[in-house]
Amino acid sequence: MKLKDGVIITSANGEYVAVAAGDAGRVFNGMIRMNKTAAFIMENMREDTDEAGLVEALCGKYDVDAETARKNVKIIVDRLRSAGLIGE
Amino acid sequence: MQNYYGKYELAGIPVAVSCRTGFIKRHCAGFETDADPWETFIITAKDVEYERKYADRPDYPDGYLEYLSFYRKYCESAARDGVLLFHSSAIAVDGKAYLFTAPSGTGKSTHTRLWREMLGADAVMVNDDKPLLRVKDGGTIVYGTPWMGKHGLGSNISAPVDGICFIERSKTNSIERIEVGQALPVLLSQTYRPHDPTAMACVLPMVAKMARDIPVWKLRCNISAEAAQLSYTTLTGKELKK
Repeated sequence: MKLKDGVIITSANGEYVAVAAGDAGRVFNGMIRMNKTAAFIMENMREDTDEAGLVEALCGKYDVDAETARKNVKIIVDRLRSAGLIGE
Repeated sequence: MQNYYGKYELAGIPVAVSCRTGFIKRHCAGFETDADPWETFIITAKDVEYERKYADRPDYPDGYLEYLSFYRKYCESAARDGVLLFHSSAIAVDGKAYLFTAPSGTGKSTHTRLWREMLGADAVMVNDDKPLLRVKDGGTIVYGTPWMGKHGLGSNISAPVDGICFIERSKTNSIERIEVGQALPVLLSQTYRPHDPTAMACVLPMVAKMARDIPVWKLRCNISAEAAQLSYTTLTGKELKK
């Protein structure tokens, strides 16, 4: 799975926001507010990956146990999938 | 058949438009230029149908839809030159501009009308609905545009932005500063989002920069002189002249 093209993330003072443009913008015209960790997970979905790959990336970057990482990855992936922002 | 060709300067960018009706000629008066256009927008029947599909009413005349299409094309293009559309009622006082924003129908225009009633000739409307912002180091500038809302309030002027105020209706009046992180989604919700991903990628950092650089406020207010006094003294940091 991979984040669709056209998803753009920006930040100010620790607050992260993602929006979609182009074809991704046709299916999602809202905005996703998130923290730094969630933004990191999203950035790792620019290349084709899976949940296990994201958990590994998260554990490599932050001091977090695998179980917590797995839960966080699942929440974000589910959210992005329901927003139509993931190409399988 | 394209019957009209006009050249306009919007937020410092000269552009040309080619279309069928004379609606743009009538409604963009005051923004003409002789400068060579950086870009020419050709508005076709297909563009008009696109606007009709997304319009809030199905019965707008073609000319009005051309006028909407012109602005859409401009905003998609101008994002790359550091310009975005920020849905707000913009008013200038003592050479500085203040932007009041809210979802449609909340009372942006009503609040800037209260400012004009309070300040008289000291307050000048920049644009009542869809001004352009040029976001850069050293400050954000607001520009008047021909798209100025149903009351037609605005002028071809520009001013540095000294504050942005998000309005919510309330029985009583209160105002608070919105911190930078919270300001980002608030500002983004009122910014025109280009369809083109490259243009959108230019707009997003500009909005983040606005959140960092410009004081953003949340005003809960009713329709009263007291509400206008509260926002004026807070946003400008000045006492009201007697």
